[in-house]
Amino acid sequence: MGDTRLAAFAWEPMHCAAYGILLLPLLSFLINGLWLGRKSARASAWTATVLMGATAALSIIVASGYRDHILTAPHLFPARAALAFEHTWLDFSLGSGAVLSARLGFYLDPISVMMVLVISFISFLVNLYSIGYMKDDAGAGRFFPLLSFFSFTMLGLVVSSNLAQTFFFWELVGAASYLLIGFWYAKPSAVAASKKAFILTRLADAFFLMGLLAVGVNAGSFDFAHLNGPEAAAALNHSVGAGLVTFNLLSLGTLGIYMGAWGKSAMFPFHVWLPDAMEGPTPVSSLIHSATMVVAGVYLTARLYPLFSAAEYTLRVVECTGAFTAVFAAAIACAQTDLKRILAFSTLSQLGLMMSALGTGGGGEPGAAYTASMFHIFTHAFFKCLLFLSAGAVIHAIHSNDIREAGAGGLRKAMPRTYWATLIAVAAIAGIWPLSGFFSKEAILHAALANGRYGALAAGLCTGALTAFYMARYFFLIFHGSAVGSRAPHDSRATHAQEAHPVREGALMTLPILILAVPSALIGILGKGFFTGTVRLWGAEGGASAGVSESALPMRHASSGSWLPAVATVLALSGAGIAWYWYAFRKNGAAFPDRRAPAWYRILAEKFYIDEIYLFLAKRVASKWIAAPAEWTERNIVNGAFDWMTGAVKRLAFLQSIAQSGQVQAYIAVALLGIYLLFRFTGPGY
Amino acid sequence: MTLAEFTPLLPDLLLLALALAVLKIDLWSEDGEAGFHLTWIGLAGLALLLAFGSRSDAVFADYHITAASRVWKLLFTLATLATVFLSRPYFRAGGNARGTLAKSGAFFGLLLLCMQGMFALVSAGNLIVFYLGLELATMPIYALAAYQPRDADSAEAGSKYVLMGGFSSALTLFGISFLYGATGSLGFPALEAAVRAAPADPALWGGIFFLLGGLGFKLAMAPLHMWAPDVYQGAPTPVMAFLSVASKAAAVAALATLFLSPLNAVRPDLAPCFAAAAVLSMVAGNLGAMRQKDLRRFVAYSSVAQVGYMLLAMLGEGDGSRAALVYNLVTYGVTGFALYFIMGVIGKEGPETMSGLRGLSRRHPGLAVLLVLCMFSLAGVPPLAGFLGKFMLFSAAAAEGHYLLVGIAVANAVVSFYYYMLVVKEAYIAPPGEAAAIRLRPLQIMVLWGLGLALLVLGVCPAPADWLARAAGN
Repeated sequence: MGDTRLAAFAWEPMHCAAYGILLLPLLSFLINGLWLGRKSARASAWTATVLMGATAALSIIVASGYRDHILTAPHLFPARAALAFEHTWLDFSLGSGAVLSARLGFYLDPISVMMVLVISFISFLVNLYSIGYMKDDAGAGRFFPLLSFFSFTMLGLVVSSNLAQTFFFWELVGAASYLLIGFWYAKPSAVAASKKAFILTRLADAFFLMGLLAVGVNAGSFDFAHLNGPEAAAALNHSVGAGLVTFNLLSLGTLGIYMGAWGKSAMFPFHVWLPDAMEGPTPVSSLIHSATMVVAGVYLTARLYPLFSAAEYTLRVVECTGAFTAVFAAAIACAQTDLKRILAFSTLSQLGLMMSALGTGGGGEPGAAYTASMFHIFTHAFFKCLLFLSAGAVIHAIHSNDIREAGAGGLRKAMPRTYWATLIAVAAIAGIWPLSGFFSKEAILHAALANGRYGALAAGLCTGALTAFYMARYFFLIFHGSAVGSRAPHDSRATHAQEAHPVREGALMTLPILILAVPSALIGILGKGFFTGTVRLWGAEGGASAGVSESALPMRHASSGSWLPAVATVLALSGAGIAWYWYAFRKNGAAFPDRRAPAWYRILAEKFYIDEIYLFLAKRVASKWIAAPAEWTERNIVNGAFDWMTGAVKRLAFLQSIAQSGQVQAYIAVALLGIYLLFRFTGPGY
Repeated sequence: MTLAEFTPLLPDLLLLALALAVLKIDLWSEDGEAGFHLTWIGLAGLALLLAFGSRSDAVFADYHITAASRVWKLLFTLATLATVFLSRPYFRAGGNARGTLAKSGAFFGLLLLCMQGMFALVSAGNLIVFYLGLELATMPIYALAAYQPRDADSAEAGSKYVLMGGFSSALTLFGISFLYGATGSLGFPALEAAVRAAPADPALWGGIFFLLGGLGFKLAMAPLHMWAPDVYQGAPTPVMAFLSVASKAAAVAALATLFLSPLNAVRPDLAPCFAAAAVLSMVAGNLGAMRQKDLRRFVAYSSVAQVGYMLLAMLGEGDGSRAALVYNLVTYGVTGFALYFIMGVIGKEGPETMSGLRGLSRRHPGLAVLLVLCMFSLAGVPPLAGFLGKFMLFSAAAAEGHYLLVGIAVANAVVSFYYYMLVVKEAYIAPPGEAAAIRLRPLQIMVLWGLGLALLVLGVCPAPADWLARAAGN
């Protein structure tokens, strides 16, 4: 039944290309992982890169085919989703006759095609970059297969045609990121970080699984084509539960699914894993932060957006978590001194913006919200990847992550290309016209305004100002800084490191940086038409379920907020200006040395002590107040009581040798009591 | 009756012959090699026979050969086969740090007799056959648990299992007598009719709960699980493997045999009971496993938790539940045996404890990878076998509207993830001692590769699940 909303089409080259998009990265993983990686790291690096390049080429074929044969084909309008292929994967017979099946498909619609393009293109560039970056690493033969696997899982995720497939790839993305973040497994901090990322996202995924089951079982299908239709929302929109505890199933299910996105996209308070994930090699970070892993959460929310927009409560949660995370992470980023950590918090903040943009859709203009968020995912992927790759080049050159040491190196002269590329990316993320970030950020602000969500609008503006400040700080400290500040100039390890390894910009590492600078600068102007112009992302099929009329189109409200870009730009420029004054003009080093730091700075620098709170909860509370008492109770009270009951009280000292026979009686006593209690409380009640 | 009519019974008869032959062969074979080869070749043949042999159903008085029983029998055969392979180094001098086992012929013979009991259990058409099967499937393990020579722990495990087994047999028998009193019959068809006619008979419910108590012991279902850690820890590792896979599968089969067919009419009323037992088992298993240092004890608690998940299937509808149960047992068996083989490898030089895993990633990277796969599979991470199994169980419960229960189960799966990762941590992060690199025999490498591939294939490809569902469901 869901198929009626899918465009029927047959254009063979596109099918083959779609298969290839999934098969080539998998092939690269298998070839390199099972065989080539052990033989020659170099050969495996090039194989992976070439195959990923081919994947990118195939994704262009698919994208152009999609545009010509489905998106703009008049006879298919308004259907804009199609399946390149689909095979039944799992059949669950559910007793009552209903058959719930999960399929393995390749779903084409504007956002999946966009993501396929972004992922394959960025993965290709990251592969290219890694050839240079991982050249001297002993584990390079292990690195490239994992990188291919990571790309494969993310591609599989974005083209999923149903929730079950999504979940499957979702978990694979998690597993792949676990292996890559913990790539340097001899380093305890890397292992701890990978474990943290995995366990935290698993926790969130548990809710996802529950939401998925609740939604799928009740709507009768896992397929997006069906779930995004009006029947699914109607079928789910009823209360379950009994007595005092009743839930609206639609809210409960979508909230569960959103919890998965919450963890994966590292919204507060699940955000703690992302900054630590920096322990992986820099190319991995760039991939995680731009095209894979973290955007999966935003993507999932967007993928089910028609269903979400029927659940008002869930959308409000999405909006609040997003807006809060945006401001919160931007504030923390202002006080970090580790290059990659600043970028990590900036990712958190930008993800928050995307999420809050989706959430604002509850105000009656879901189309505007949806397109703005997707537009920002798109532009963010490029400039964030560029930021990471150039940060990697800096780290590679000075052998340090510390922004204060980078400032000592005079890198502006030594790495001119990296300098300019970073400048472009920094200006783009700060939202300076005419770079890409300006347009997508503006779209988000407009969406908030059009939906009447003034809180989200304020959060967006505030985030914009903070972003401009910390990114300018980042830039000026690295390239215009000096070693004054907390560190004595003669003691700078960076200087020593530099003497040992003179700074050079390797061709293989610079090329992807230069390539990425182009979309980072221009993709906003070029993509504007696609995202918000005549070819709309938000079609009739989504609008129908959310009760939105065709006339409610994105960006038609620009006139009502023409002051918005001006205000945003002024805020951004003043943020950047303050950073310039402080760090480049006054040469303030990395702001405060530790002793003089005021309390508010320490709180920011320590990331609001969230990690410490978690550690406290996990170590102290869980193990001391839950696990330990449980063990103590079992050992002392349960066993002890029954020893006493059976008249065989043993001394603790003899417990090891002779208490065992007493314990069998205790086991039996517990068992009998258990059977009795089960019968008493769950039996038919005689 | 012509001879041809006995063809469906062939596997059961062959098994009996095999058991007797293996018991006898020790008289002629000095080193026990002949017994080993006879056993594994016989079991492999039996597995082929069950998988591809006669497909016709047959009824021999109260001994029923059905498609479902064939699936269970295949499962038992494969689990026993894996146990036989696993036990091989334990009979070799220097094969295990805990001491060498002796008299392999008797050991394998006992395993086969145990299997005979399981065969009878799933073919039972009345409660007497059912009970006899259950007993025969348990008694040899009394001896097997105490098989480690001159080992106090093993002797203790044996005696403890005898005590608990005796107690559970008494409960089972007591329950059966109640059922007989309530329904006036022992045969399953008559039982089913009587239960459907008077589902609220108090004697019936008394019988059901005593029976559930007896089966719960075999299953190591909380609150009847407390023997498991002691017995698993004391028994030799191959026996522990047999207990945790084959014997558990037999208990699950017994549960399914009774509650999905003759007692199916009262199963909806039993839902709260199964739900409570499931939650208790998950919680007890997961909390218990968290602080274990001994791997056999760890396996015991983790298997208690797995039983909790499997009990979710008892809430669903018949066919889907049986398929989910069988699929879970298969995936659990594959994962479990992969772990036990790793334990066997490290047990060659040191104790089979967490600290024995230290530095595994340096000593043998492939083994360490397999260990990670096992742990991920037990925790239910895709694309490994354990994920699909859990997914089937959870959706079976969700389809019946038990959202709270699924929530608890999922939360437990997350908790379990913590201690499974602790094992991985030992293998990868904990500083290794000066232990040397591990060298494996070709047979061991083959078995480990097979299990590793099965872990992946079962998790991605549902074809075996479909096949089992169709075979076990009818």
